[in-house]
Amino acid sequence: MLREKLAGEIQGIIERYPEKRSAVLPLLEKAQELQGHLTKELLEEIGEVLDMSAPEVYSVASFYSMFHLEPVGKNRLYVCRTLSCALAGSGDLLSACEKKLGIGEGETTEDGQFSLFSFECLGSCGTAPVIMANREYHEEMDLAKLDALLERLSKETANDVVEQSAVNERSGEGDSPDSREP
Amino acid sequence: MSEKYLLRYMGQTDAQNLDYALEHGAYSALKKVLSEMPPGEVTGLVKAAGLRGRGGAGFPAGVKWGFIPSAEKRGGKPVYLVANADESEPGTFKDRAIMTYDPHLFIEGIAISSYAVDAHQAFIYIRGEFHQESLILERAVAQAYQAGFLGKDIQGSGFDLDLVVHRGAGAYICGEETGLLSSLQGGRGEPRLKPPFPAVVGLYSCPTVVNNVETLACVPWIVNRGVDWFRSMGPASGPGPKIYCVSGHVKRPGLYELPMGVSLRELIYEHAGGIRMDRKLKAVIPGGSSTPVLTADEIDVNMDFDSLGKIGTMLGSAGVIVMDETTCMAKALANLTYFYAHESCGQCSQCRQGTHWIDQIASRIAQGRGNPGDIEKLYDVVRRTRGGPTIEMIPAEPGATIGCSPELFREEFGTVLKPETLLRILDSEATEEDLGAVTGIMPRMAGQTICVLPMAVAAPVESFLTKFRQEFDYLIENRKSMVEGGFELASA
Repeated sequence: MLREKLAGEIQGIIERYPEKRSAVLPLLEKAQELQGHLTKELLEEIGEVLDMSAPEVYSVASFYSMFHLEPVGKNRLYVCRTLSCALAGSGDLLSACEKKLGIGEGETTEDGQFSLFSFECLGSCGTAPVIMANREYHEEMDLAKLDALLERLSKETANDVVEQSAVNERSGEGDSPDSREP
Repeated sequence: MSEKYLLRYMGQTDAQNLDYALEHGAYSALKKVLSEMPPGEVTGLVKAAGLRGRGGAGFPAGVKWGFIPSAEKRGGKPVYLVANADESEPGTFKDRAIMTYDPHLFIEGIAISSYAVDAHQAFIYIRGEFHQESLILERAVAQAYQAGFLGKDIQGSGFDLDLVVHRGAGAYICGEETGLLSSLQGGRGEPRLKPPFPAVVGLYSCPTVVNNVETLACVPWIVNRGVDWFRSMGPASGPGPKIYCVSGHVKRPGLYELPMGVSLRELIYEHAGGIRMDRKLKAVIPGGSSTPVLTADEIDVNMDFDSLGKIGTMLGSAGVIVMDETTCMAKALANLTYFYAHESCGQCSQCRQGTHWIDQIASRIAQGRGNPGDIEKLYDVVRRTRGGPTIEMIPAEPGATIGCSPELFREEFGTVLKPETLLRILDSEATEEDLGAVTGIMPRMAGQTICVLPMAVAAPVESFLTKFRQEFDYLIENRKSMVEGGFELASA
């Protein structure tokens, strides 16, 4: 799939680097664009292209917050929760998102249109609170802007065919470390 | 308002266009360097200017470049330059503005610096969330290639340089230079032990310089305006123009480019307009979330490396987070401890577990579920998580380093290193043999972690607890905050 769809691009990406393996993040990014999340097949294919084992590719992908290893909605909302945004009301913003979409943090709407995530510092603290919608920053957010954003995104993706694949509740972020009560 | 150099075009996008940038002097420093200055002279100039790294540690850039082994010693290995654009320290948002509004200044800085260290391949490692900015950079890089400021035989000088924009994918720890290099090599962004330092063993095991965006953006200005001009701004120990990022409870949050060493009070009350709704100031984190917090009584301090170091905190990445009287300090702390627990890479067991333990305790206190003795427990877990002083900080300039004083080093290493070795290390004049001697004592440094993340979490925890102890005690005793309102924790 990756090789079919990106036939013309893969070699160019690999050639940017002195060592092939450095192309893993760019290829994971491209692969995720194809299907919204990184399937086992895509990870295997990247491994074949870069001479890495599938588990190695998985190990890399699972390290980074922006990669989704489980199905996600057509639109992903990442609400920054770190201090400057929290001081500017990101907690309320996240609650508003949950209420409007009828889902909790880490979940996807039933129609597959939206997934909601709380996210760590987006590096835009001067224009807090901030939401990253797909790959776009929305700064100095308030409830009115949130309504407008959700409406726009809904319209943009309403006509897209939603895949019938089971949309899981949580992406593969749940590798909670050993966290016994101290 | 003082003149701007790094954010001249703030708010306008004209300079994204090469023609506009050229009309306003872009790449003139690169041309000058390529036609008039041997590489060593460029390094000497940056050293003489006293340019210290703007990413957090404040290490002198020219000295860092000087660590790159000579061509004979490299044995044919190439040198790489990596621009660290992984800006992810909470409270910091300056590099994004440089890349957005003056991408050619940044690229010119990369080209000059690469020339100085004999690198012919450079990378910009930009955090994946900055997708728009990465596209701006890609366009600017393409323009620079076309105009002969990148690529083969730049401006007929014989100097070649390729530059690749590489996006990360969301991981705080990739801002740590060895984590960044692991990531760029196609791995998990896990830091590794230093030494060897990247200058000797870096990207693809080759000598590598890693510099922050703002640091690199200063370089063309130093070439054009000279050492005296650069040194005319701020203290001798770390001069130059500086971008301060102000966020939180101020009337005008944003970026303020000012001479190094502006007073924190002036920054908050004059430039950022004071506290929103004219409330009372309670606390300020001066240099990004990993720097110890200051109380409202401590803001008569100059925002430079040494002045902040003297009062027990750091300039860090100059991410100033302002909190007013409505802020519950326990909630603010728990917000940060969650961040570090989430961002621990998990390699070192005391950090992997300790950051989560710290977060659990800090969160339960913030939620009014704290137990008597929790504060002592927090101090204890922080101490154990942090372990000994991290060895990677040794060659950095004393006082500018994360939480470590030279005295601490003396105590820690003085018994196992020759005094003269120690002195050279402390004076940033370590030889390869000195670094080897340090490597030799590594096994004795039991209990320490690979990178400084545990120190980064220790800074807010210890300073919040110490400076706002009353608030934490009250919360544990009364199961509610002294502060009405405030913000809700986004994570429970």
